[in-house]
Amino acid sequence: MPESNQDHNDPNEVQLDREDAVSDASEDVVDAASPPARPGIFADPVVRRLSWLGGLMLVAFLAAVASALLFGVLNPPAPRTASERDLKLAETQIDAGSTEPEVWFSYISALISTDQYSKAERMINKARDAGYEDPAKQYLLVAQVRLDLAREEYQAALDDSDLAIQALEAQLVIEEEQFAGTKTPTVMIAEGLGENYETLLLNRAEAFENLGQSEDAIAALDEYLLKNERAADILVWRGDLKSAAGDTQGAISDYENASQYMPGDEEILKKLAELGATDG
Amino acid sequence: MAKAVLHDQSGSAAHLDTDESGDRTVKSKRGRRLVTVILIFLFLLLCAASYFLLRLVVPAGDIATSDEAGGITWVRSIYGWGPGPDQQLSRPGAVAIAGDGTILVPQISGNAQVLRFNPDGSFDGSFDGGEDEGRILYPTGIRVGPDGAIYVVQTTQGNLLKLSPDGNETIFALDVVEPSSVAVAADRIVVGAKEGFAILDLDGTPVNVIGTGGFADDQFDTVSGVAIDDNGDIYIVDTYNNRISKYDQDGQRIWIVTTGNPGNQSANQGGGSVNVETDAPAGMQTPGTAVIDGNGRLVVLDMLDFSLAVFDSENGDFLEKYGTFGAEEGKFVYPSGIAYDAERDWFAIGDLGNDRVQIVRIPGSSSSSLLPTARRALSGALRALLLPLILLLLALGYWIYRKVRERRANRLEMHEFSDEHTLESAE
Repeated sequence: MPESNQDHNDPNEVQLDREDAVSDASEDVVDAASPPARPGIFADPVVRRLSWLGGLMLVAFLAAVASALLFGVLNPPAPRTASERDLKLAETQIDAGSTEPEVWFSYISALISTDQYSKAERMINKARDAGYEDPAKQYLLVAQVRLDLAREEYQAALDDSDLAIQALEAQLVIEEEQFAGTKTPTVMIAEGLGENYETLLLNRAEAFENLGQSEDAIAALDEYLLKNERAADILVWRGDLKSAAGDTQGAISDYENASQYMPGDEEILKKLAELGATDG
Repeated sequence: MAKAVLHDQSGSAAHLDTDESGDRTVKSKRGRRLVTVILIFLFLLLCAASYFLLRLVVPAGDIATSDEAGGITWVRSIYGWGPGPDQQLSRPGAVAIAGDGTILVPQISGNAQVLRFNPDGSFDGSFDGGEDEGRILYPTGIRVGPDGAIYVVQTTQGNLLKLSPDGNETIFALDVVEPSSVAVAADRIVVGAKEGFAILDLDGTPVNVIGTGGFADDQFDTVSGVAIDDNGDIYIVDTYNNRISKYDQDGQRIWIVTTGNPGNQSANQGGGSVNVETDAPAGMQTPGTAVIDGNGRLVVLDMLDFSLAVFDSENGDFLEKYGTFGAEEGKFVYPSGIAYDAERDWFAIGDLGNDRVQIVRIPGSSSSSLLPTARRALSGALRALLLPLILLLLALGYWIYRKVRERRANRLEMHEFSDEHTLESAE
């Protein structure tokens, strides 16, 4: 039986101790004549100390927040990175009422770069609700793919990139019909599906790679490199994918191609050396 | 030990304990449980809140780690003086830091001017010089003297503007070809030029002009960097000869080191102007602007190697190289201006190709004194801990004060008791 219960069963001892306790009036008011006042939990010094500790933790936290605000740690007076700068620039233009799709795309991209995914989603939806038509719609679809990738939702990125590519192809058909036979073709007619399509190819490659579908990723990069054969970083990327898939010769070929455009690059030389293609 | 058991409203026990010293204490199991749960909950809540605060504090974007950035520790970047597209830095080259930490950046494109930024990156105004010859048009070198005056070298005008703290502007005509760099000490100004360097007093009177154009040891091919150390010795970075030399105050050479393949000489002999292969330990491409860091070392910027090379100022030995190419924060694309802030132990780098000024640190640049270390700590997010630290110190002070008072009171009590006891014994 616990000691406390034993004590409780002995009324004399309790009374005696209560009388003792009365003399300690400052802490525990236990009056022998009247029904004893129950000491509150704060009469226990351990409870008091723990409460002090909790209070101090809270005060220290609030003080940290206050000094962070006071010394500008929480609200930096100027952009510190390119992403923060881009965000500020686009934000200013949007606040000024800009409806340019490029500005909105920059803003959404900047939100994604600064990890503000929910806000980016809201802006995409807001732009959609505003009823943007092509080509503005394409920017939103590309932005949605970027957001999916940032959130590591790779299947959604592939699905959304399909939609974006369909929209681009539909736009191309419309423009071809509209401007057939004219001497001033649009950029799209002159250059094909354009920059957005190339971005989407890279996005798809990233999504495929993360889903473990190396062959599809390589295929997406193949298509990208058809028009951008000097993109050394993409050649290195495709080389990495081929190397991981066991296509050593293909990887060496890509690294060597990349090396032409980035002579002396240590990373590429190291990769070639690892594959036994050079002395490193 | 005597023990009294009391009951609180919930029926759980609260004990009145008497400890060995005779003091009575109350023990409340329920209270302790409750407070412990509250403490744990509070702790978790504060951890979560701190995490979200930390996310706000940490700059967002592509920031290279020190390893990725070739040993550079990025502090912050400055991109512009406002939120408008026309208020962004464009090709910032030269850069200087004033005694109070203000960062000065000449802006060449558009309306040429010198922009002032606070150490926290906020914009603090600009100036564009006076009229005609005094107008800032093409500033290529800028430094702040110990007296707070700003010195701007203008290659195209072949002059040096001195902007005193009281707002007066003085124009020094320079008798050198294509002046491009400047360093200022307490009693002299050194201007680097195409074929050597000039030493002037603070009134702009020439004291000495050293060098001729060429490839021999006392000849120069574009002095893009000059620096003066605490002893008044002068360091000359001869860019296209790819050499660094040290001179005493009288213009006598102390040492000279080759830092890479000479550009123009190599080109004249049929080679490329820039050759990666070199026997020089520093392996520099185009040594340029230079400063002396807090540790007395010579730090030289290399525009085409995207790096900072550090040299022993005593003998010119190459020590280390930091930095790499890239657009991420902490990396460089054609860095072309450097300045050092001894108080904060950081460098401002004009990152020309990335249209920004970067504030960075490298290892070993600080003197060993405590102040720069403390300033360095408080120049970052650690400032958020300043108030809690002050509160903690106040609480500690109060606790010590109470303890001392208690001890003094106890001692008094014991004295009184002892006196009474002695009196009773005597009686």
